[in-house]
Amino acid sequence: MFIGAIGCEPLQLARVNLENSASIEVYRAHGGYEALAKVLGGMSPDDVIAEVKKSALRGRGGAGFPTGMKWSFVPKDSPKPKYVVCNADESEPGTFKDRYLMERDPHMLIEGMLIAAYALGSHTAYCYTRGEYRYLIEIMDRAIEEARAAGLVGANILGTNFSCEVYTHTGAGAYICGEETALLNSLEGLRGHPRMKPPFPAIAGLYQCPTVVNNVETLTAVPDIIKMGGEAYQKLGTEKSGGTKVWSVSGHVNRPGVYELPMGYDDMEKFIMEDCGGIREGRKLKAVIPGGSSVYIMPAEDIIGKDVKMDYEGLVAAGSMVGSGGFIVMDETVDIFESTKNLIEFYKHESCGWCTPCREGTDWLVKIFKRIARGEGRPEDAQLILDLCDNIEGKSFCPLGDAAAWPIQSAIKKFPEDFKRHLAPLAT
Amino acid sequence: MSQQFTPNNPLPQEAKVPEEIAVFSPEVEAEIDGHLAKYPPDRKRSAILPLMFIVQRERGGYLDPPGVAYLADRLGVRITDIWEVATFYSMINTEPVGRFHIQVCKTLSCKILGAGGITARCTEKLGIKAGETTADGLFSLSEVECLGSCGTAPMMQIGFDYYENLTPEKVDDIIERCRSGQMTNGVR
Amino acid sequence: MSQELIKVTINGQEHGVLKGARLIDVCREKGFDIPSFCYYSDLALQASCRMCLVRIEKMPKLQTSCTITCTDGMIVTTQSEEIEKAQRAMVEFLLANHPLDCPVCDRGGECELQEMAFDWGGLEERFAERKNYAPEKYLSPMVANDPQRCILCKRCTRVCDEWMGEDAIEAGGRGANTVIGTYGGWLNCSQCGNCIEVCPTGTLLDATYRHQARPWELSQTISTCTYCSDGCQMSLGSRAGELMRVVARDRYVNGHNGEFLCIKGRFGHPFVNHEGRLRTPMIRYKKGGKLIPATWDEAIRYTASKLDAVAEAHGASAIAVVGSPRLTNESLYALHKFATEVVGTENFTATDAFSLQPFLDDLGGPLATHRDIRYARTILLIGGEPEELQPLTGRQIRQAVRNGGCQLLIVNSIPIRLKQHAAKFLHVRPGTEDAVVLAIANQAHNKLAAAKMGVEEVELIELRRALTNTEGDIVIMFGGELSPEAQSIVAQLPYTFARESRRVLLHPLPLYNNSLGAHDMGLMRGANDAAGLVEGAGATVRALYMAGSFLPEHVRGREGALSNLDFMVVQELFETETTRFADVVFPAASWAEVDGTFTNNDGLVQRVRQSIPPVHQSKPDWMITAQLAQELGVDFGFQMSASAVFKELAERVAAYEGLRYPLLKDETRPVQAHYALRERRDLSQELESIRARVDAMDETALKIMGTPEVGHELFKPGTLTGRVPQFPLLASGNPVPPSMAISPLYQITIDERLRPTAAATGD
Ligand SMILES: Cc1cc2nc3c(=O)[nH]c(=O)nc-3n(C[C@H](O)[C@H](O)[C@H](O)COP(=O)(O)O)c2cc1C
Ligand code: SF4
Ligand code: FES
Repeated sequence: MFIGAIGCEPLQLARVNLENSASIEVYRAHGGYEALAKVLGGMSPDDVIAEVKKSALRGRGGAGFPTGMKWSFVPKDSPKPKYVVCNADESEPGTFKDRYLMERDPHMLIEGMLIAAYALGSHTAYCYTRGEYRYLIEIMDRAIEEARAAGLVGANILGTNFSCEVYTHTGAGAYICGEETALLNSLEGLRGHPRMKPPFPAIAGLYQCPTVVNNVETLTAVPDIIKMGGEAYQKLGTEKSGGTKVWSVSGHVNRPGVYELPMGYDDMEKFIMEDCGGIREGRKLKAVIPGGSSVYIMPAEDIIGKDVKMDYEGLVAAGSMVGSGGFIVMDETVDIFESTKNLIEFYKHESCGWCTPCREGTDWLVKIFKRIARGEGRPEDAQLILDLCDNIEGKSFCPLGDAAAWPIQSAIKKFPEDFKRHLAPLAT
Repeated sequence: MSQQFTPNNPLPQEAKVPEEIAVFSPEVEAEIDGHLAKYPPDRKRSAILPLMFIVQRERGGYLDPPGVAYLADRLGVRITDIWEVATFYSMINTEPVGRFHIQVCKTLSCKILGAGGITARCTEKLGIKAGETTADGLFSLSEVECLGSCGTAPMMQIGFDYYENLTPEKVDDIIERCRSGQMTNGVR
Repeated sequence: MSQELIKVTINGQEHGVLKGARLIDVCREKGFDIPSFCYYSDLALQASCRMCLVRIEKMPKLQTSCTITCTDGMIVTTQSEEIEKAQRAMVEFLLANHPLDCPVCDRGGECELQEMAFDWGGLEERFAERKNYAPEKYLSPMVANDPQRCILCKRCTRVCDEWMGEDAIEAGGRGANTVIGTYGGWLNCSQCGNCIEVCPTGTLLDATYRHQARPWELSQTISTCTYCSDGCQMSLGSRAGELMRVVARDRYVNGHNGEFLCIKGRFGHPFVNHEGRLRTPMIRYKKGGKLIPATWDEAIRYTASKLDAVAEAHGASAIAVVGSPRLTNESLYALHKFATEVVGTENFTATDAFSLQPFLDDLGGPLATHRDIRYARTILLIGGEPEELQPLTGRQIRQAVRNGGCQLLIVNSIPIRLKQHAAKFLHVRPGTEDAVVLAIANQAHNKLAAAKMGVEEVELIELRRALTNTEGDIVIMFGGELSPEAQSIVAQLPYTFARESRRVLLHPLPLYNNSLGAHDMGLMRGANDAAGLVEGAGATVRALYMAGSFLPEHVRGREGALSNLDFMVVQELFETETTRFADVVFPAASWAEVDGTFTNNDGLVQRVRQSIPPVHQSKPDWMITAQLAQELGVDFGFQMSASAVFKELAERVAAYEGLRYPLLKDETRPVQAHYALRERRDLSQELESIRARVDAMDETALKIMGTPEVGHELFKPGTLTGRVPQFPLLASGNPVPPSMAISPLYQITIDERLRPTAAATGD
């Protein structure tokens, strides 16, 4: 599996291919913890936040919210303890970048968490990792111990008066716990239901204290931002979305893997056909889901010869989203009805059951898709499915409902043929 | 495993110590203390998931009533609180599972790269369908949602271990190694 | 919530609303209906049913009005095509996996989901798939459960947690497999049944009334509970002279308890139509003989002549008159009138567990209503165990602490469950509760008090500081542990602690539904208390006329004393330990069969209304008394109507002056008796006698350890609740039946040994 950068110097992936890259020695030998030293060496928390703002870093967890702004929401004066929580619940189908970042370069994440903690005046940082990634938790625990031994975690870090503990925490199999407020409930030992917003975590998060939740990739970007400065980092990408983005590429490409691209990397077609080695067995490209299962599906026509820019704005313009950067490529053999059925089954299984439309809607949709798959499809089902999606979208308690509706809506819109075939089984 | 909770030996609602309650070795207790130490003293409940993994590892792969009683007692919560949490998370088992819990990813990327064939081969080798456990209690087979190996699809997880870029032949080999006891890791 | 007004435009109309008000409440108040399932006022917000969607300008997508607090200039639309489509869609979703078995559902006819569907009409069923299946089952002897009907509004789990503090029922599973239940499927709790009450659908059902009747067959009568002194308002559902069920659903009744009832109020009613009810008057013509059925006329005549004879031979005071604090004010008044005006004896009393007379005589501040308790800033609870003996008070305390941030101070010799909500819990030696009153009244006694109670002196200092630092209401509650002198001192505490910004409200915790009424009617001012009268039986007391029975503690150590009486006449519902000694027994009508009033521990005078005609030949107690008086030559002039009795007593009892039934009609606006406050008086004598008693207390006595089990009082089968088979079952530990598909009553026979002794709360 390929792992590396294309079209830019590797930042996030600078060390991943080195011999035992997870060790603190290798990390330090390649500029590790210099950013932390720089920060503790004379930057004020506000300086740090300012740099991150300049970097135009946008959350890599899926929402794409400007990280610097998120950090600035945390009340400085609050007497309560503040928390930094790393969201390593990575469960979005098609997404596995966080996994390799943590596996190959855990110290980069620890450094990122520490800098965030410093910027927010926090002394405790948790890394909430999905339960299935047990081996990553072990890697992280080892790394934390190394860092502690080196005086980088715990009391008086690098001899300064900044102290911060970093802990790992395990999930136990629930996609919804990737949603930041559900994650916080889960971290408090409750069922992983999302919470009402407002209040936002920045005001009342973990244990009702000010909390910042950031994706792994977001936090691992921070050390480089500090080292090279916010502007330089932003310049790597576009004006609105700075820096580089790590994409998880899977499906019918010859070279699946983890690709670091500059934001605004142009031409998705080139990316697929050349960088990722093109479609397996020379088959034709049929569709791409560029940002993890929760985004609109893109048919080949919208990609070939359309030089689609790979950043937030570019993908929206092309009718989809960056999401979590889970880039799923499908060739002509794939039946989009089948692939859509597969995804809605995922969302049904992962719906937390809190709110009516998502709980009942996904259950109902799965039943319809299964019926159609049994060859009992009816022409009017398409309309029914679309209407149900419309009744879920925008009505659910958290975005999971929307995330379940979008792929279906776009699939039916973009691939009517694949559905017609199933909906009028007798006709064909 | 199935989310539906099937009633078994009921325990009192209050977190008072029930008649039967699990006990663990000093090592395990130390491990548990280690987890509890991560959270504020008045927030012990935060450790519920880590502790559940330990208890189900120690109690034969699932949360049996004494194990549940232990958790409620150790965390100072009600039995119902353990139940509501345990049944929410798909990795927490409220029913016994086989020593080797084979979990084949069925989500899109794996699916289009042949997950179906992998499950089929497991079924063929083990004589059980997804959601079932072999009579000898050695294997359980489940189809699970995306485990983050889309780039190395198709894949499956046994216990906590990833097996990636699978082919039916590889599956045969892995199952053989489980059978012949060469595979030491697994659910417990 | 501040009093500041802000402007909110709803459907084009501008309204001034209180800043911080919740949008859904405001809309409804202003007459715009907003459908909802999960929203329940004063419970944690849920926002999961997604029914209450509205459009708010400058906000993306539709918003749930249950989660929105109004802000100035907000522009809201509650009705539009978009909104109706969304709301219809939610109902459609909720009905998708719903079995649609209304015809066999106990909730059919009063189901919020059903109404929602019917009201809107035109819901074509597009769901053509297979429905998820889950079997019906029992969660406990009281609660039946049909999981398929559940819409997961989670009112039940929130009520269990926030009202009852029990957290016994929870949601398990995930997504479409989410179920309401418990670990192991069996419900161990106080069985209040409030989860049943708040359930909008037929998911949680009253197992004792299962498949017995349809709601529309029942005539609903609003009345007051006959158990504890909280006086919950309830709706009695009866059919053809039979009391079928008791509920507090807000569609029928809206008392100060809202939809809250406890196990006794909700499930304790079947004694009314129990086959053991006395059917006719009975006479025991010779001592040791059998009670033989007689006609009313004969029994009345016989009784009158006997009483005459005793008065002749031993004088009027040899006749004692006793009433039960369960009777209506009307009946108790009639008894008092009978004692004083017909017989002319000072030997009268009520069979209450303890007297509040000293407290009421020295009352120096207003009685707290349950609403006051909910919004109190500080609650001081001395003795008592509200969660078992006055459950509504228990809930109000919990709500005050959890939703209102009130500080709860508990002084108790038993580590009662409420202590988990307490900011301060003084665990004192048994019988030393007086000491804390001593310390509060005069800090000089802190040291002594602390030593005797077995607490640190600082704790008393902090206790006092907590009181003096309070801004807002202080509510002081006390149970039967306090001595008469201590009661007087507590009654006068308002004079010490009240300020401009701080009311001090008092809340006594008597045990019976009409304990306070018994005092108001003057019955507790007799020369003797119940125990005393039993003591004097055969000596000072030769004849006894009583309505109700003695409590176990009244006769304890004096067993058989009653047999020394020349003559004894008892009005009762059932044969009891007391009727065993009676020469004449009159069948009395129960609370469900009479009109009248109860006065609760707030001093609220609330109506009791006749739901069914008196069973068999029974009659209301006051009527029997009046007939007896008639026979003895005194016409009470009650013209057979309770309202006439009340009118007269309202003229005679100062606190009830001006009250009439029409003024008590509306349970949503309960009327408090206006007790005259006693001016501040010198209490040095009382203080001195308490100090002396405290001084003599044992400093080495052991403390009581261990928190009592849930239901240790509530489940005890008494004369009334003992007739309901579920109570003994619960009292013997609520064993799990072999099958949860069948009512445990049909599967479990209770081992006699497990039957606890009669409840301390008597009845
Ligand atoms: C259903 C759902 C699942 C999510 N899963 C993840 C996830 O697995 N990992 C993640 O980092 N963010 C996930 N998010 C996004 C988080 O809610 C949150 O936006 C993110 O962690 C914020 O970090 P960021 O600002 O660095 O992106 C999810 C959101 C939703 C609604
Ligand atoms: S709390 Fe008291 S008054 Fe209310 S229902 Fe229960 S017993 Fe009756
Ligand atoms: S009432 Fe607002 S979501 Fe249920």
